[in-house]
Amino acid sequence: MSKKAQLLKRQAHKGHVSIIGAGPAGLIAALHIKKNAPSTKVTVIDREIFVGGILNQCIHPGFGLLEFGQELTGPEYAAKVSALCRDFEIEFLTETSVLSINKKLEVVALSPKYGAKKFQSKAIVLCTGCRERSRGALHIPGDRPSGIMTAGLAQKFINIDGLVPGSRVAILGSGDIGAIMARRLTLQGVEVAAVIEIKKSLSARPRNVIQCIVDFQIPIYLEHTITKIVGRERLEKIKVAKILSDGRADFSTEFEISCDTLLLSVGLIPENELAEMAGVALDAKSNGVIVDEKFMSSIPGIFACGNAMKIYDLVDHLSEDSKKAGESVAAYLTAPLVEGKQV
Amino acid sequence: MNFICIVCPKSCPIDVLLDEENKIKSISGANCKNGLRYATQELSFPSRVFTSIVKLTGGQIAMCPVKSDQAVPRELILKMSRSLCQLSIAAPVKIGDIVVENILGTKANIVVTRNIDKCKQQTKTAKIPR
Repeated sequence: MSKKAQLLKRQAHKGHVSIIGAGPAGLIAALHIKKNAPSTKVTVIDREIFVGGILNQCIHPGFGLLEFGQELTGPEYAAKVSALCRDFEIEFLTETSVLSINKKLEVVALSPKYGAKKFQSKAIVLCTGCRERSRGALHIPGDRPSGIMTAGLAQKFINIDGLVPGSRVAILGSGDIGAIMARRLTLQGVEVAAVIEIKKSLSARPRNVIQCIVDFQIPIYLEHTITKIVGRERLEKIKVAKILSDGRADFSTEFEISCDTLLLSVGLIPENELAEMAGVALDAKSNGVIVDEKFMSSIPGIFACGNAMKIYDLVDHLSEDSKKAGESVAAYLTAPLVEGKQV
Repeated sequence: MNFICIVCPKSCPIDVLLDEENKIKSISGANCKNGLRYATQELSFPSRVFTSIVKLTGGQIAMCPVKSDQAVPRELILKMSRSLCQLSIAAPVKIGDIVVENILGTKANIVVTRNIDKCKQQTKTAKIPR
């Protein structure tokens, strides 16, 4: 091997990968980059204190049946994946917020421990996950009292902080988080007054419908929607009406449900502010990062996987794809250089 | 009788035929033996894995997630949850640590599902401004 070729090879190997987000996608991508390109320096950046992302607040079972062949809870799944990461030299920067990324693959991050920090990366993997759709996106008319929050936020309040959000709760939308929260709230002694769904059937997976809603005899209103939110300081009641076939509410069927808390479980949106900042192409409909078969976005060197790319129903499927993403990042970093460019 | 299997996310629809004495004649629709077991169990004695939280002192978070290490009778779940309200455990805790042995005589143990280290700072508690 000529000296130049050797040098080029070393440069290619000496990559530094910044992974943004230490949820399941980020951890598994890091693991498989390190497995397939051991000389790469891998840094995983997360704004929370703990790694594991959303898994830590998902204390219900149902994770890992496909990946590990046993039924685990969210925190157990996170612990299993981070234990696998411990076998490799992966740098974790927790309590660190990424402020920006750009086309030159620079990452600017901020942390109370280190202050501002800038990384020059060979590759960036976006594992920033998703957000829940909030009231603002739904255009529900009425007052703006306290007591209206997304189901995932209520999940964090209860499972992590031990704070019960209210005493009588209505849930709009029947996504999986909504169903799981209906059970959690019931178990914590909160009355769940209604699950209101605009469609003809509940959108949670059948196993969650049975274990969480049917088991606890929670009232379900299908083809109904909220027509008004009423409350001065705190939510007092909601008005609910049947939906006509053209999608409008039939006000002649309107009735009231008194509740002091309203949870929204009406879908997830990939969180891609950082990607947008760098000019990464996003899907107009889903807001997910558009990637090729190698999980690379429209900007060479910026990859995306997990819920930031598309919304997954099951963490096991997400892990499977994140593994592939990690492998292709490793292949990208170790690929021989042609005329100074990576192919 | 029809069931939807809740063992895995595939959600197989299971059809159970009963004879005159309410004994199982045939089970169809399940794609694996777990489904057969689930249908038989669900007919005689519905049970679920129970997950909840207990108060944690001395850790970086306020609550510690727990679960029953085997499925418990469905009717007892609410009662079980109520009995955990009184409890408080101290950090550090490890996955698998037993919190309550043989809860309500079900032979199931309540075990910790998250590793939480001891923390020098006080547990974060919410302050509500007055």
